[in-house]
Amino acid sequence: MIYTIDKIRDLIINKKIKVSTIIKNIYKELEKWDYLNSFVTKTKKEALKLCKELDLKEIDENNFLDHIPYVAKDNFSTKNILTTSSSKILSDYIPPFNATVINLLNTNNAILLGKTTLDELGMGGTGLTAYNGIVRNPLNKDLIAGGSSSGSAALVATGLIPFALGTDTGDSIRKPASYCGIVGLKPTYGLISRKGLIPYSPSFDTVGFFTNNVKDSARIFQHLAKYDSDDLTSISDYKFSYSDNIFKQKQYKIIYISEIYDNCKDFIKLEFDKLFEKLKNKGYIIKKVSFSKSLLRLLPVVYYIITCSEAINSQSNLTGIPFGFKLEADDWKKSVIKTRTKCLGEIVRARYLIGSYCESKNNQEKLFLKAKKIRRFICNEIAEIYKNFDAIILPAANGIAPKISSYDSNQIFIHSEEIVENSLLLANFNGMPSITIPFFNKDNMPIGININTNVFEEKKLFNLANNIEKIINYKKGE
Amino acid sequence: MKILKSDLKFMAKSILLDIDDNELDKIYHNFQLIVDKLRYIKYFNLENVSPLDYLFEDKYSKLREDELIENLDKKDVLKNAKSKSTDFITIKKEK
Repeated sequence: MIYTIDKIRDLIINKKIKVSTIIKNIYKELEKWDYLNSFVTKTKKEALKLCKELDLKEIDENNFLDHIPYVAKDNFSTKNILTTSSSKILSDYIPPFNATVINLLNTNNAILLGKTTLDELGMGGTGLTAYNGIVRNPLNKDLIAGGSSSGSAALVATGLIPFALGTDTGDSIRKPASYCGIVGLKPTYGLISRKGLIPYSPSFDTVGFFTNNVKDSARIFQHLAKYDSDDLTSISDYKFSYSDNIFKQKQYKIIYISEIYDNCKDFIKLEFDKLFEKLKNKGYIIKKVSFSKSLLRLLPVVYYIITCSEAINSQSNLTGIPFGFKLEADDWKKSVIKTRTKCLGEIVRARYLIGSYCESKNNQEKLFLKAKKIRRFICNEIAEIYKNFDAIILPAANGIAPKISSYDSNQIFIHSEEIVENSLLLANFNGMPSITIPFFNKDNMPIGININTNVFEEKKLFNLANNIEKIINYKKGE
Repeated sequence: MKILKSDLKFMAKSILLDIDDNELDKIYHNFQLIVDKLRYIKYFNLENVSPLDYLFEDKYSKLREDELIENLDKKDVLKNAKSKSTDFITIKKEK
């Protein structure tokens, strides 16, 4: 059984099952999936306490979050609940406040079932770098779930959790969604508050979530896209209201990028061709357009330079002194060196070092500022596309989830020259909304398709994604 | 652009990390691979282009009014510090 929002509402409203019974059943079922290592913390006690109160209340039919269970990536601050960001340096950190999104979910009576494993401090795309161990793909335990929102993706893919919070700095929601056969949304930058999120790279970090269908994604977005004066990048004048009417098909003009499409594996191209034919038959206009190949090649380079440079600043408080795990030494400086060296993983240490190098006086102009100039070129090129078209369709990955054993421990960055694998970064560069939905199966594993619209055009994105979801009619396991 | 290993070593010290030579070699190698790919920049004229600091700079980059907000309780904040006195964090002096 797949628990969607409709399924849970139906169980409670029509079959009169108490929410506490549903939650107990979910926890019981989740035990079978413990080997995935998706959870850092299960919040069973708190969840069942809340359920006791909710059992006595009618479900609010206008509130899609009411009585709905969820999990949150462990980089969201949760008051009085361990928040580790899957790093040893935060392995005993208990925040005194909630992230704004957690508060919004609490206010709407959503039920937090636990905090999920991520690549340490959000750095990585595999699910293999968490302090608390690797995350496995629920569809095949020898394959990665993807990252960095690994545990959240894996849990939604079990079908037991209707939605899971994640964050997307460089495809960290949309790539795992492809590998796990679920829906992953990264909204427009700034539409969901980042207050209380343990930051990685603030000019890229975006809060999003996983669901089992596009409809649930739109419903949850309605509740979470709220202005927050405590987040300086929060957008103040945006409004989105969900209704089933938002899915009424419109004749959008869609493009796919030749430099990306031409580099896709043949079996992916074939599936795209079939889909494009179906879309044309439905009245959509499909065009192949060109994008600067040099900019596409620069995407990962520029991404690493900016994100590493921002990380060394945004995580500079990870010293063990004000909070977090601390190793004692003769004086404060030796203690900080010991703590940071022993309690941060290899990838995090490397990225800090590279970030400080790029931002140093001698290199700032040559590396950091140059990278930010190239980011402007990339944004401008995307903006040109949206002058004439409504949406950009991309492959969410150039294959199924890779094997866990295929990763080399000496590799600090994924140096893929493949333009296809890096193309999801486009939405992080200009902040546009981007959603991955399941597309087709290869060797019994899913591959996703990624849909993008211009910034603040979530309504268009959900409309298109919902209609493409219907055309694809993806069935798990087929 | 050539990365200098000696610069990396100096940087590690300045950000309070103790990185041994093996690890430094590995980071150096990975970083050089990244920087080598910057060669594609030559196709772009970066003169008179300003770095992009904020995505929606045209529409939203204005400072908001200052406002007093409720702060976190000091006791709560200090709960996570390993070493503290009445209402402040304590550290051992550098020797």
